[in-house]
Order: sequence, then structure tokens, then C-alpha cells
Amino acid sequence: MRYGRAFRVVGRSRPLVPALTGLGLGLAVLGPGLAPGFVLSYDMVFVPDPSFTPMTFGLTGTVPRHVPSDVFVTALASVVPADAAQKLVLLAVFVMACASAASLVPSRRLLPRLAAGVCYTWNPFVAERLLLGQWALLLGYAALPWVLAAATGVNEPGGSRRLVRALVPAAIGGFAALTVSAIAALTAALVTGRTRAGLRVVAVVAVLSLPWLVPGLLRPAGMPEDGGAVEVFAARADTPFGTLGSLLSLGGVWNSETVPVGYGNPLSATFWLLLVLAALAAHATGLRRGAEAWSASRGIAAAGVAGFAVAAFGAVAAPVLEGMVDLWPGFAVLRDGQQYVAPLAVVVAVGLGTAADRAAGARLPLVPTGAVLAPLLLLPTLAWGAAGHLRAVDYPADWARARQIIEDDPAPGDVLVLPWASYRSYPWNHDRRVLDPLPRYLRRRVIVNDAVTVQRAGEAVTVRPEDPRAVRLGRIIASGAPDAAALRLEGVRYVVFDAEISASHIQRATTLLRSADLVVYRIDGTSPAHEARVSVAPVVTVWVTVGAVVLWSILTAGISLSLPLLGSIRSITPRHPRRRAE
Amino acid sequence: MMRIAIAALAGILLAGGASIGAVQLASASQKDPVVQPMYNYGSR
Repeated sequence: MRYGRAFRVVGRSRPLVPALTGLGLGLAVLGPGLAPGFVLSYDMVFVPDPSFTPMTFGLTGTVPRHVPSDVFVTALASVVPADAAQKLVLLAVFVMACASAASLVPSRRLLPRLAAGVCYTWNPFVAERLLLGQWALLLGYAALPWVLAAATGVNEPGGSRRLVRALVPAAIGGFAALTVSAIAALTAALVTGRTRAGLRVVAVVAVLSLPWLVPGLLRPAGMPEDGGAVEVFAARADTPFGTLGSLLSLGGVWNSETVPVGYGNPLSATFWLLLVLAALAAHATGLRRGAEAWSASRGIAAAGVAGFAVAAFGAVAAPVLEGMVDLWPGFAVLRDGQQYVAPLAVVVAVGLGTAADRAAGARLPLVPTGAVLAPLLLLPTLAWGAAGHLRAVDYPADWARARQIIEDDPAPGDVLVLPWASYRSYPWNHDRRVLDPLPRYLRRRVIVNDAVTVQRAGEAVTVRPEDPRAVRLGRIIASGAPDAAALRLEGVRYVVFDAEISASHIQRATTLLRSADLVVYRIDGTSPAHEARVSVAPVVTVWVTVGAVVLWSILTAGISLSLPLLGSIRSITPRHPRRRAE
Repeated sequence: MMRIAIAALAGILLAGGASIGAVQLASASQKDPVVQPMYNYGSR
């Protein structure tokens, strides 16, 4: 039996307390990041007054990993200030995560549902991915419980529409978020609804993938590939329990720098793993008990198992995955393995809520309270901007001056960013690493080195650049001090140094701005470079299509436009509640 | 008796966790984790 039949819809106020709890958790996590300014950490790049540019829609030669998340942020920033938009998006992750996980616990009691919500919102996965700046992935993670619930009932009347609505956050998140959700939803649907349900999930996911899929497929340079990156981004041990134990604990991110302070110490890691195992046991016991929602629970459990298997794949069978990537570069989506444990987090959270509910039924009132508090106590360093690591900063005033200078120039030409690397550790950002913000900060086409370098066992491993312009310019830069004449031929009008200011120099270029944070050179006489781009027409068609599908999913009977996701996704409660909420 | 034992155990765990957490939080706020080199995406 599926969720839709096994559980009945309860009042719309049901998600309110979990949602408010999620808001509280979000405020606690972001802490100093809520001050005016931008939180810049690894992949999390927000800029003031972002503009819609061809890059925003993936029309340039870059791989459209930022589509459509950048479109969403740019649209949101046209309504509210960009730094406020960032905080809204991040808080929305916590609100949705807590509310969605709580909605899957088959109980009318509040504390068990909150236990699930808190566990899903406050765990190593959220901490590590937040520190890594992957807010777009977390957007999909936040709605994953709703996605799984919808996938297990996709064959019911209105099931496809419900799935579309549940997948909207993941669709906004883009490539990674939608892939994680898709694998989980497909597994759950195949287990509960067989082939027909699976086909429906595939169809829905395919449509919602179009905004990044079409620019990616039409990209003139084709699909990038670097099989060597598998071992770099595979899950790693961040607890004493090895890679698999770390993944089971919902940690194991590839980047050792984004592990929360103190996480992984033997004492707290052991307690946390025991909590996870107890939650999994509670969920498994529920499967055996033949509850009404047995089939749906089985689907969610299967999604968790599949997620764990995919997450561990790159770590335990790297050569196989490398071979698969060589065979078809699209398999590279599996190389950052840890992100696929997200559905396991759903199982753990629901299991913890189920265990807390049973304890409440057995008149052990302290257990549900302990279940709510345990994640907070075992991972305290997620609080206050992950122990002060996520802080809001302002872009230096010189950045705005540089933007003004470059935007006021009517002459054509692109912007080259040096030093030739993709990540920065700006002093004004407390030396925290961040993807260079200039491609989003400036309206012109900005060329950065999009090769990614990761330090591993004392050596630097570099994943090859993907942007054809970056590949060409990389050869010029590698040949020595860049000369204005060579850059002019490549269509470069401006060269911006946003690090190593004192060593910056471009021969025969005009210095327009030199400050402690930035140097801007202009190269006169530049002609526009020929750049093979993605055609606009198919991309416009795609956006219209996806917009129409999302609108179709919202405009259903009983769903008001004024009640977005929180109101339209059903909270679930057993048909025969044992007692009222505590 | 069982309830008292569970309550005592839970109390010890909560107090222990809170103490450890507070110390970790305080010490972590004092230092910046980012190290050189500055252009890497990260370290395994």
C-alpha cells in the first residue's frame, strides 16, 4: 500500500511547528552569516546585483552546473537585495528539511516528528555540504523526503503532479541536486509501483532536467571527461570507522577541510553511529511489522540502500567507475559519492522518529526528548556559522569600482581573471576558500581557469579545465608573462588580478585601477573573439516548457497558488492514531 | 527503578555532550581553519 492510501491528509497547520523548528535551526547554524553581506565558502558564490547574462543560462562554453540555480538567485535578487536573497535561500533549506522529514514520521505525536526533522536538518551531511558551499545540492536534499513520499505514490491520481511539485527545489538546485533526487525517487518508485511508476519518475525528472541538460548537450565542446578525478572526489573516512562507516554516519565528504570542527572524534562519532544504527534498526523493524505504509517505507528504505551503494561506489571500486567515465563521461556525475547518502539520511531521520514514537508509546518520555536533542549535542560545532566558519563579508569597494569601469566601457571584449586558478582565499573573506566570484560579479564574459586542483597525499591533483576559452588562454599564460598582444588576439579586453596584487603585470596594457584588493588592466584594440555558443532558441523553448509543466503541477484542484510547497505537500499521519500529539 | 536509571543516563549524556560541545565551539571560534595553498579547491 502506498503513502497516499495508507495515510490520510491532516490539517495544513501540521508542518508549522517542524517548519518553525527548522527556521530556528537555520538561524542557529547561520549565526554570524546572517549579518549584512555575503557568505562566501567554496562553491557558495553570491554577488551583489547579479545580472542575467548568457552564462547564467549556460549559453557560453562553460559546463552548465550552475543552471538553473543562478537563474533562480538572479531572479530572487531582483526582488530583494542579493545578500538577503542568499539568507532566504539558506534558511529555506533548513525550514524545508525539518518540515519534510517530520512529515514522513507516521505519528501524531509532535516530539517524534521533531526528532526526525532535527536529525535530518542537523547532521554531518548538512554540515559538510554547507561548509563546501553546496547550497543548491542542499536545496534538493531539503525536499528529498517529500520527493520520496511522492515517488512512492506516483501511480495514484495526481501523483505525477505531486512529484513535480516535490522536485521543484531539486530542479532549482540543478545538476547534482536533481541527480541525487532522481536516483532516490526512481528506486523508491520501482520498489513500490513497479515499471509504470519508474517511467513516470523518469519522465518528470527528464522534463525538470531540461534547463541544464539541453545547454549541456548542445555545448559545442561536448561533454567534459576526466576519469582521474574519481579518486579525488570519492568519499573518504572522517570518523574512526573507515569510509563505509563514515558514509553510514552520513559524513565522508571528499574534502577534509569541510568537516565540522570536532566531528569524527572517537567518543562523539561512536555515539552518533550508535544513534544511526538504532534509527536504521527502528526503520527496519517497522518494515517487518507489516504496517499499512509497509510498501512506501520499503521504497524509502530501498532508496537509502541504493544511495549508500552509489555513495560508496567510487571509494570501493574506483577503477570500475573510472572505466565507466571513460566509456561515457556522463557517469562522472557519480564521482562525488558522498552526496548520494542523502536518501539514507531520510531513512535515519524517519527511523529515529519512529523509535522515539515507540518509546513515547512505551511511556519512556525522556527518549523522544533525547532523540530531538541528540543530533544537536553530538554535532554542536554546526552552530554559529559552523563554529564561526560561515561569516558574512562585504565585497571590497574596489570591486564595485572595477565593475563600474568595465561596464561603462562600450568597447567589446572579454575579461581575463588572474592568477590563473579557480579558487581564492581572499583576506577580506577571512582567507576562506571560495570559487572566484568575478564571472558572476561582472556582466561581460569572464574567463577564469576552471581547472580544479585538490591536494591529496602531499601532491596536487588537477582536474582538467572544461571551458575551451580557458584551455586556449591557459597555453598563453603558461608560456610566461602574458603579453597584451597575445591576449588581444584572444578577444581579451580587460585583465583583472584579484590576488597576488604586488606581482601583477601585463606588458603593454593600461592600468585603470590598482588597489590592495584588485588590479584592472585594459587592452586597447581588442576585437570580439569568435566563441561557439549554445543556440538561444532551444534554451528558450526549454524554459517555457518547464515553466508550463511546473505551473500545471501547481494548478491542481485544492491547491492554491498562495500555498506553495509547504502547503501542497501532505503531512502524513496514521489512519488509526493511537493518541493525540503530545 | 528502570526509569530513574534511564533518566540518570540521559542526564549524564546530555550534560557531557553539552560540555564537550561548548568547549569545542569556543575553541573552534578562536582559529581559522583555512591553510595555504590558497588556490586549491580543498584537500583530501
